[in-house]
Amino acid sequence: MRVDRAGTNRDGRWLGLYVLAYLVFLYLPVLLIPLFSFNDSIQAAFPLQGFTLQWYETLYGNPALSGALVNSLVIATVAASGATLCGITVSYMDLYGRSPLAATISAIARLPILIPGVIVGISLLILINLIGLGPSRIAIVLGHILVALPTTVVVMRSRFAAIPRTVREAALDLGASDWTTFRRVMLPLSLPAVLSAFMLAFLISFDEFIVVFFLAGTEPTLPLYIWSQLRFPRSLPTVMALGTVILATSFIIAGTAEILRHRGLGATRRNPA
Amino acid sequence: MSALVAAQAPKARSSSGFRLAMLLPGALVTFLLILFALGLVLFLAFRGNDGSLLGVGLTVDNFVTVATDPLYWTVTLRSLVIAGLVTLATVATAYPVAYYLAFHAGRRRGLLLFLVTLPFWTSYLLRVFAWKIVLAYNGVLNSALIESGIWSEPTLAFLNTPAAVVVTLAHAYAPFAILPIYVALDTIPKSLLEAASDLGARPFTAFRRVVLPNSMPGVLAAALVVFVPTVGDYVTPAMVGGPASTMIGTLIQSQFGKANDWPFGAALSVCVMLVILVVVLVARNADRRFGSRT
Amino acid sequence: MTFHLTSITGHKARAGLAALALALSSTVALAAEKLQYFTWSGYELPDFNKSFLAAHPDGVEASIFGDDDDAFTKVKAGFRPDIAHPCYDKVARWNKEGLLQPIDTKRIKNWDSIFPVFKNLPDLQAGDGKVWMVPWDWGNTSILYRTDLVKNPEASWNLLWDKQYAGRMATIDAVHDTPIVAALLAGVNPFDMTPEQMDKVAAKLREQRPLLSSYTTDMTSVEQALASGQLVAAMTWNASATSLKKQGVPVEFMNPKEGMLTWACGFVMLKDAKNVDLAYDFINSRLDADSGKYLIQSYGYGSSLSTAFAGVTKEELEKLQLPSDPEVMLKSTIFTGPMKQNDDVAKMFEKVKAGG
Repeated sequence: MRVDRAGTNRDGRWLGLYVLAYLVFLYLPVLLIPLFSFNDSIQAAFPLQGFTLQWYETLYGNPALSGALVNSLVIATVAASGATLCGITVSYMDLYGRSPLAATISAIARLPILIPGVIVGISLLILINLIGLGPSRIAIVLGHILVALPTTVVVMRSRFAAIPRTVREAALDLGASDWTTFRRVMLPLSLPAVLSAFMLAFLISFDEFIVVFFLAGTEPTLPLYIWSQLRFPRSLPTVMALGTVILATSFIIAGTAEILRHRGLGATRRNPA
Repeated sequence: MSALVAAQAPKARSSSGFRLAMLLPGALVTFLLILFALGLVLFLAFRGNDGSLLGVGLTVDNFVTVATDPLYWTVTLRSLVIAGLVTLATVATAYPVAYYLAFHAGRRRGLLLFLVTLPFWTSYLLRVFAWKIVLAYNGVLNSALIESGIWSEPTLAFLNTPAAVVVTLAHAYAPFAILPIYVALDTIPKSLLEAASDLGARPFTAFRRVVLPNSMPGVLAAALVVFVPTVGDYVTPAMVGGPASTMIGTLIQSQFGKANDWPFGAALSVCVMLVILVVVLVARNADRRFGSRT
Repeated sequence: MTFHLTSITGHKARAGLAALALALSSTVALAAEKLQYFTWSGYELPDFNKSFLAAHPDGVEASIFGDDDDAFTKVKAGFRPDIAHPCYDKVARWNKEGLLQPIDTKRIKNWDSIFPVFKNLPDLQAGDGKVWMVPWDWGNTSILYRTDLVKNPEASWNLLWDKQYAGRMATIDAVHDTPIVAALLAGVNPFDMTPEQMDKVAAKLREQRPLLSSYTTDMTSVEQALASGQLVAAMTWNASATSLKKQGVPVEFMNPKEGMLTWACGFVMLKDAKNVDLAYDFINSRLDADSGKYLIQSYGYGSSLSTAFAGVTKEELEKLQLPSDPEVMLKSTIFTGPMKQNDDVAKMFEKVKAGG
């Protein structure tokens, strides 16, 4: 419904132009990466020096690179799972636990958002040294759970809060235990939020650099690998090629997810449950 | 009511098992990781430095140095200003996009959201590096300006300046700003807008007095998400900022690296966290008084 | 949007937990049999230790650092590789923390082929035929400048303080580079200074700050900026000179009258190294003449082995501006040894960089 059809259509057009300009601003630097990954020169500068696929060839069979990529994926998956699990439990107990302990945990869980990454990195570095763990992938997972926790808690909390209380009360009235209520009523209702919290936590971990910088042992993650290569002039185009591959892959994955979602919505519209 | 209570009483035992299982993961992470890590930093801040991991003795010297040396005030202020500018730029440029998404995008909403978040999938480091290429002496921006005849010579004023930091971070945090504002705008009931127009409000008045205040929680969330990481960032200023953009995060990181004074770094960290807390509380307060109606 | 009240079924949850457990177990490092080598980015190339890889295929795992101060932070905080690759001026600092164990030179095959000027460095000696570090590579730091944009500069480090080129110069963000140069220009001994002398160095550094485009160790950006003309002069290592000349950029690696800076780096063995024998094999493999020759030809850095230079022609060495005997070099350059007040100078440098 529109407030005023004529007015907002005019606004809509100007706004639409702005959004277009904004998208150009968003994509212009990003598109330079694929551009220079095909450029036949070590330097990322104009004029372009000719087309080449050699940088992509160096990506092939580069064990350090594939190792870093696998590390990033594993760490992000584990950290996102941990953060989402904690996010679900913490926010659920905060809303329905009726205990000061749950409220305290929820408040503390959202603290890390105030802590700059360098402090997280250092304090965890000291912590893992004290418990004898040392810089390693497990350390990075712990660090990323800490960093992603506020996000998952906030996402799950707002979702749980949006479910009407009557739904839960009805389940309990009908004789369901707390566990069954949680498992068969509240959680399924919040599944989109769970997925969204997981995705956000995954992204946060996959792209995170500062904490990894302090906590990485012998197995670097992708950002750390890219950073170590960027300091080495010869590797710049290869890193650009890597960035292009990542961009293309995520485009395909996200695009597919979008198409599937549309199909799913279309199916629901055709067959209302 | 009593039936409800009676129905709940026999479940007491399974309920407490449930409570334990649910509280456990959160308690572990918050107490063992977060509180312990914070406590460690606080502890280290009061130690003297002898090059060892946890320092020696107990002293307030570190805090005295932070308080009395004007450099740290200057750099903290600079960090707050730059972070403030980044937040302002990011949120101000993101708001119209979120507005468009909520009120004008219609069927194309999903596609737009997809397009807006996609650049975020490349590595952050590469995006910053891409901005170096754009802003460089022989980069895209300079070349374009020369081609179009606006300038005859490339300028050095783009890269290695605080302005470069602002632009780069406004770009990097765009999706973080757009999404919370969009979500807040989306939850404004259309009935409010209809009521406003029914009562004779013109579109801009409706925006100013209905939409804007009700979207404040989203704007505040976006501002926080951008502001806090920016204050402590040292990677972006190091790559595109130049010496004039040295921020407090750089100074903290160097205490744990080159300068090899961990206790002092911890003290600086504690002070920075306090400053951030104060800023956040002030912003929250202002929002409650002047902003949201929810 | 319709909600489907399907439950999270038991077996889905169990499958999820199993996957999580699998992923978690994969995070436990299986590093027992491989040699852990902690080194500069670019020094982990397998071509440097071919004979080691022939005897122990896939036997080394490298972790990378960008700066040996970062490396020190990590190791101090509990990271335990077998071998690390810091530079000579930091050996004393690593040792003071009790991080190292001495290396027995009798087990190093080519120890005698190492240039005496490196073998006899004071901080290396652990007594009893043992050393704290086995030198492997050395190189020079100086000003790399555009010959077409900087006309006939005086051969002096003062170029980096020249107001004419304000905003178009860069310097290395490291304690053992820029502050040493500032000390030289201020007439102070960089390796042992009084607090008053340190103030003089600080003043000199403050003078330079407004003229600089950046303090950096990111040689990629420096080279690109020199090539594009954004920078006209920068402090770099000699590998950058080689690289830009190969690309046809008109640059020159200056020979300043105060002297270039020469650095030397090498292998140290960490105290709790798990694979000591593998470590010796690795070091020996790196001290093959081939390895040294590859270092010279691919990066333009010097090898600590005199035999490595034998395989490189005079013309190549001239192009790389590398003499075949570092003793000759060191007669006219400043060798980067340990700075007694390293930590204080580092603190001062950080403050000056931030504007204080």
